[in-house]
Amino acid sequence: MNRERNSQYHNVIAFLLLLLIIITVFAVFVGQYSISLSDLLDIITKKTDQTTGNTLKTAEHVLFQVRIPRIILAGLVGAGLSISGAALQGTFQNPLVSPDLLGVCSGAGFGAALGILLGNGSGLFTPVLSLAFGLISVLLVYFFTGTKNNINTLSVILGGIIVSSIFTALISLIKYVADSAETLPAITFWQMGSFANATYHDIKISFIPVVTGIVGLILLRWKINLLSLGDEDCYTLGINPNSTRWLIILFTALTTAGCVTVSGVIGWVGLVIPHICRKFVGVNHGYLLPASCFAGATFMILVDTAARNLTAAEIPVGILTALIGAPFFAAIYRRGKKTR
Amino acid sequence: MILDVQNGCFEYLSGKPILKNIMFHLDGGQIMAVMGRNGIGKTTLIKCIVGILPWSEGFSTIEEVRSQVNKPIKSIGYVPQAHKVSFAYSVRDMVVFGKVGHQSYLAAPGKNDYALADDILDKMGIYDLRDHSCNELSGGQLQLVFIARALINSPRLLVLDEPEAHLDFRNQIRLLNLIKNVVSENKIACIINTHYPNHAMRIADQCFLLGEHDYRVGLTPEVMTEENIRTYFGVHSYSHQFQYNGEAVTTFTFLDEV
Repeated sequence: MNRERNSQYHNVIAFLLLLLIIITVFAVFVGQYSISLSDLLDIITKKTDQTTGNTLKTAEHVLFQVRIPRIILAGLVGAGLSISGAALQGTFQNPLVSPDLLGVCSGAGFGAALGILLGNGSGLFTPVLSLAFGLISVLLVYFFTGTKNNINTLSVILGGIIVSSIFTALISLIKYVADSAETLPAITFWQMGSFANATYHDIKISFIPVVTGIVGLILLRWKINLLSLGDEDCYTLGINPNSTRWLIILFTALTTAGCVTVSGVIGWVGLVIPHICRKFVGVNHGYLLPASCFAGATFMILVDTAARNLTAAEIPVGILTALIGAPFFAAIYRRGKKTR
Repeated sequence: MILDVQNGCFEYLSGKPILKNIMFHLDGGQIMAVMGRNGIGKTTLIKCIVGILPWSEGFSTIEEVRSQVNKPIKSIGYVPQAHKVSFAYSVRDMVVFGKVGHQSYLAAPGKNDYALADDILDKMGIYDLRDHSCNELSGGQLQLVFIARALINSPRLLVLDEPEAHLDFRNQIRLLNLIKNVVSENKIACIINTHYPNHAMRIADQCFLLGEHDYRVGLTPEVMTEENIRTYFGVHSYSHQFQYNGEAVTTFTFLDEV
């Protein structure tokens, strides 16, 4: 029954939303600096004033200036990368595709590396460069494939490989000429992907591109179903495949560049989260994209909480997502093979 | 008149025309069978009419709307040959996808659209398959799903590319009857690419025989003669008429290559 499928989908979304809230609350409490429940209530009800002790003021600072922006940013980036991955997998008819398909991550990484090399990584300079080069990489792919009418997806993917290689090489070049005392470690650390030192400033930078991209992809999610059937079927079903494909690529580029700009390169999330969601909501992208959004946000907050709590020194989030994501992916792939 | 082709020409490489000066029209309630040897350009002709490929010269219109490469015509229902799909969508979803391209750009299918899909699946006798994954179906079942998807928008022109290719004899007959009923009930026009001249004899009002340098189009009894079959298929044949259920049936038996 379609009613069953629909209500199953609504159940999954409700569950994911609930999970997101629970994980968020959990993340707020768990940290190197312990905040008790009574402290939290005091802070929230604004009982802090001149006479309050230092511990409560510190707790308030940790909560509002350190943890909450970090949690918000992690949720935003998790949602953005996951929905981009799901959208690109559908658009390119390949469940093994990740948001880095068209070189956006490499382009944004190059922009950031350039910013750290030329500036010192603070202020608006680096994020603007990162965002700009993330979008430039997609533009380059667009010009590589030419503006003919019947562009096949293979040439778009090849364009992505080429642009990605160029930017990756340029990043290595920058690392080569960078001063090895401060600049090189800064670039390397940035590339590992981390939410440490996340600020409201970061949220302001990434909010517009990431949210615009997510909203755009949600609105286009049913069109992705048609694109996944192949260009001929898509056209005869009433949608221009070429223009729709580039529109989706644009939205995923906005989202991915916005994410990479503030968090560095975080891999595997965009690839694995859609796979997991398919097991629960099916392959229809009308359901998959919203589910990936919530699941990705929850996952990222969880992993970031682990990143800052597992050991005394923080582990960059990008390392954890790879360590968790890759074996997990191998496990689902093997399980899938066995059932066939 | 629903479909009108005026002097349509097409060539992949300049100097090697595949289609030359194609002219014919189809009215509502008429079925046309397109036949010819492998590689002669039957699918190319279909693609030009539908708008997947652009005519090199001339044009075709569906209810006065010219076919253009970047503007899909919504009144055409196109049924490709059954093929595997990269994601295992359910049958019901696959049929509803037919609606997605016809709504406002940002809309998602609603309850009514799903009800319509169920209705069509029922009319085609595959309602039981609605929750199955498309990749689990047999070629014949999948072909029916694609037809359902094309019909969901009540198209004015139905185009089928070799629909009997994967079907056993019984399903072939069922398919032909289905097409005939849909066309006459809804007064739509229909083009079928087929390799089975006897199917054309059963249901087609017009026949189009495509040759390398020319073509023949017209009413079925006039076009389908042993001589034309020899010219356009390169095969000797023998036609035989008999009565079945009060109807005169003509079939061709194919004997030898020329």
